[in-house]
Amino acid sequence: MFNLLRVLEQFLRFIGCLLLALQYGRLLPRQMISQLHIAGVSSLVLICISALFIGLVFAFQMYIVLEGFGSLPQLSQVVAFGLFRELSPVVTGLLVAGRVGSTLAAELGQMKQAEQIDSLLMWGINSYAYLMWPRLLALLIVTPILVLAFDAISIYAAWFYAVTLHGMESQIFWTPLVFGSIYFEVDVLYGMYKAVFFGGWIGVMSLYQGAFVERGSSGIAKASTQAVVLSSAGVLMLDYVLSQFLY
Amino acid sequence: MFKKRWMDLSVGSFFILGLSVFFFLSSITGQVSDEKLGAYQLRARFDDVSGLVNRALVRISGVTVGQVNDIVIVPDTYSAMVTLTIFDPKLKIPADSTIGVYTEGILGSKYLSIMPGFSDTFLRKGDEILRTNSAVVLENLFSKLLLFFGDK
Repeated sequence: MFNLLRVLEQFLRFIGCLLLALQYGRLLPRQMISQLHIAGVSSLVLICISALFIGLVFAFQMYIVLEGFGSLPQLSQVVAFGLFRELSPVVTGLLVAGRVGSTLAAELGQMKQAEQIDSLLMWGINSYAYLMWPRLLALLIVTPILVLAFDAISIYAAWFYAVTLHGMESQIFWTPLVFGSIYFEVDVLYGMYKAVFFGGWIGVMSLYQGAFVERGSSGIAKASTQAVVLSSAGVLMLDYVLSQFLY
Repeated sequence: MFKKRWMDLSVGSFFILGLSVFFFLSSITGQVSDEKLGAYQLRARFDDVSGLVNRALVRISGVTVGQVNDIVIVPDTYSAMVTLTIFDPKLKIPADSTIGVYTEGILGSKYLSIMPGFSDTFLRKGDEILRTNSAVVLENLFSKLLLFFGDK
C-alpha cells in the first residue's frame, strides 16, 4: 500500500516535471524529425502488414456471415464500421505500444543508467524538455496518421478479398460506404481522436518507466516490459472510456 | 549527411502519405452534411411508422435509392411526417407514386418502399408524397384475428 502511494507520488511528480518543462521548450527540428522517423516511419510497415491481414480476415469472416443472409452488398459497410471505429485505433495503439513504447523505455532507461540524463542536468539542460517532449510529441502526431493508414489499407484489403478474389462488383463494394451509415466526420475522425489519446498515454507511460528505471541490466528489461504492459492495458481501457464519451 | 537527408525525405513523405490518405478516406465515406451529389429530399405523412428509424433505407423495386432523415409528429393530425433523401438527382419519381412502410423478413428492420405511379409530372425537392401505406403492426393484426375468431 505504502509502495503504491510512493509510485503514485513519483508518477505525479513526473507529470509535473513534464508540464513544467514546457516553459523551457524550444523545439529542435532535428530532434523532432529523428523522433518522428523512429515513431512513425519505422512503424509504418508493421501497421500496413497488420492492416492488410486484419482487413482480409474481417472481410473473409463477414463474407461468410453476410452471404447467409444474402446481404453481401453491405460488406464494406460492416468492415468499415468495425474497423474504423474500434479495431483500427486499438490495434494501432497496441502495435505502437509494442514497437515504440518498448524502444522509448529502453532508450531512456539506458540513458538514465549511463548517467547521461544527470550529465544533461550538469550542463543545465532540462532533460524533460530536451529528451521527453520531442518523443511524446512525435507519438501524439504520428499515431493518428498511422490509424489513417490502417483504415485505408484494411478497407482495400477487404476490397481485394471481395472484388478480386470473389468477383463482387467493385461499384457495389464502394457505394454503401458513401450512402450507408459510415460518416467521415464520425467514424474516421473519431478514430483519429482516440489515437491522439492512445499516443499520449503510450508516450507518458513509456517515458515514465524509462526515467525511473531500476539499477542493473534487469532494470531496463523490467522497464521496457512494464512500459508495454501498462500502455497496452491502458489503450484497451482508454478505448472503452473514449467510446463512451465520443459516440 | 546522406542518412540525414534520407530521414528528412522519409518523414516528409510519411506526412504527404498521411494527408493523401486523409483525403482518400473522406472521398470514399459519406459526409454528415449529405447535400453533395445533388441529393434531394421528399416528405411523406403516415398514420403509423412504428419501427421506422432514422437512416432507414428507401427502396424502389428493392433497390436502395435513399434513406430516412427525420421523423417528427405533426401536431394537428397526430400523424408522422417522414423526411427522406433520394440520393440520385436524376432519379425522378412520379407525383402519383405510393410509399409504404415494409419489414425486411418477418422480424427484420423497417424500410420505406416507393411504388412509382404513372403521372407525367414528377416530384421536386421538398414535395410531399400523398399516397401512403402505414406500417403493419403485428399486434393489431393479432387483435383483429382474435376478434374475428371470438365472434364465432
